[in-house]
Amino acid sequence: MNTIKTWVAGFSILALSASLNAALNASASGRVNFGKLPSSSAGKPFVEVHIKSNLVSMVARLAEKAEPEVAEALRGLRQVDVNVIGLGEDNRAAVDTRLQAIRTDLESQGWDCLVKVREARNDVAVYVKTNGDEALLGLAVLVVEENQQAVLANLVGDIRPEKISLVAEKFGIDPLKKIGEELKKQSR
Amino acid sequence: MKTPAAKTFRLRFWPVFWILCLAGFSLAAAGVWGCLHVSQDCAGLRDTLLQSGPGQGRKIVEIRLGGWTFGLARLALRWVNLGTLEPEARDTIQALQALRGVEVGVYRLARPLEAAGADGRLDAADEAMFQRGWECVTRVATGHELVAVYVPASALETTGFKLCVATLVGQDLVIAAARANLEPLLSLALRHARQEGLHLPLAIEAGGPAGKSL
Repeated sequence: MNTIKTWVAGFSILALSASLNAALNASASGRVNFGKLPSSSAGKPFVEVHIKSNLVSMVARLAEKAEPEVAEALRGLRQVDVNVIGLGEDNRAAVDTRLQAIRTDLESQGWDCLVKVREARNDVAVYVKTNGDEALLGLAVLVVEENQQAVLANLVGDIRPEKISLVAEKFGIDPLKKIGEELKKQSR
Repeated sequence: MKTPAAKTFRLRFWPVFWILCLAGFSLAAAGVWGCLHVSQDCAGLRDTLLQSGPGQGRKIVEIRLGGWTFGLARLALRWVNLGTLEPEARDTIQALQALRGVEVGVYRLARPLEAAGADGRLDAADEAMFQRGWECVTRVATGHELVAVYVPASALETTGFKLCVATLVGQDLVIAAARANLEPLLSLALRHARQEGLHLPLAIEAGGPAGKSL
C-alpha cells in the first residue's frame, strides 16, 4: 500500500514539475497563446498562419546562398503565428474582449509596449519580450483595422521589428508585411 | 521417350511459371489499385472533411502517382535531349524530374459548405492530420470557401518536401498532396515569376548558380 502511495506521489510531483516547467518556458519564450479566436458566422474571412521552426529552418537553408540577409533574419526566428479575423456584428465584442485580455496578460508577463495607437476605428499595439538588453525573445502585434478585421501576430525568436516585412515577404504573409512596413517607418 | 531430367524440368517449370504469373498479376493489380486511391493521410483528411458536416459526400475521382511512377519517368527522361526542346517542354520535363509523388482526390459534399460550419470542419481536419503527424501551416475560410495547407510536423527536407492541400468551395472538395525536390521547382517558379514580373513568396534562388542554369 505504501509503495503505491509513494509511486502516486512521485508521479504527481513529476507531472506538476513538468507542467510548471512548460508554463515557465511559455512565458519566458516569447510565445503568445492567442487562444481560440471567435470567428464570425456571417461569412467574414479568417486566416491563420502557423509557421514552426521546421519550416523556418528549411527556408533559411534554401536562402543561405542567394539571400544571406534573409537567411540571417530567419536564423533567429523560431515560430510565426498570424491570425486575421473578419469582424462582424456577432464576434466584434468577443474579439475586443479577447484582445484586451491578451494585452493585460502581456503587460503582466513583462512584455514591453513598443507602439500603442488608439483611434476611433483603428487600434494598434506592438509588444516585445526581451532577455536583457540585446536579445529579443518575441514580438506580438495586435491590430484592429477600420473595425473590419483584427490581425494578431506573434513572432517567436530574436527578430528585429524592422526585419518583419522581410520575413513576411518571404513567407507571403500580406497582413504581417503591412505591419512590418509601418514598424520600419517608425524605427527610422 | 522423355528422359527423367526433362520430366523433372516440366514438373518444376509450370508451377513456377504460374506462381510468377500470379505474382505479376497481383503486383499489377496492386499498382492499378494504388493509382486509383489516395494515401492514408489524404484519405484521413478526406473522411474528416466529408463526415464533419451534414450528410455524406461522395468520391468523384482519386489518382495517385507515386515514387515508382516518377522514378520510371525520370529514368525514361534521361534519354531526352533537353537542348532540342522548346522552353515550355523543357520546363515541364524539369518540373517532372523534381516531382517524387502526386495525388489528387475530387469529392462532392452532400450539401454546400455553410459559413458557420467552416471553423468546425477545419478544426476537425487539423486534429485528424495532427494525429497522422502533419501540422497546419495555413487555414483560410471565406464564407463558402476554405483552404487548409499541411506539412509534416517533423524536420522538413528540401529534397523530399511533402505538402498536402485541401480546398473546399461550395460543395466541391479537392485534396492534393505532393512530394518534390523543392530547389529546382523554386528556381523554375522564380524564373517564370521574373519573366511575368510577379513577386513570388518563398521565391528563393535555390542553389545559386545551379538555379540560374535552368
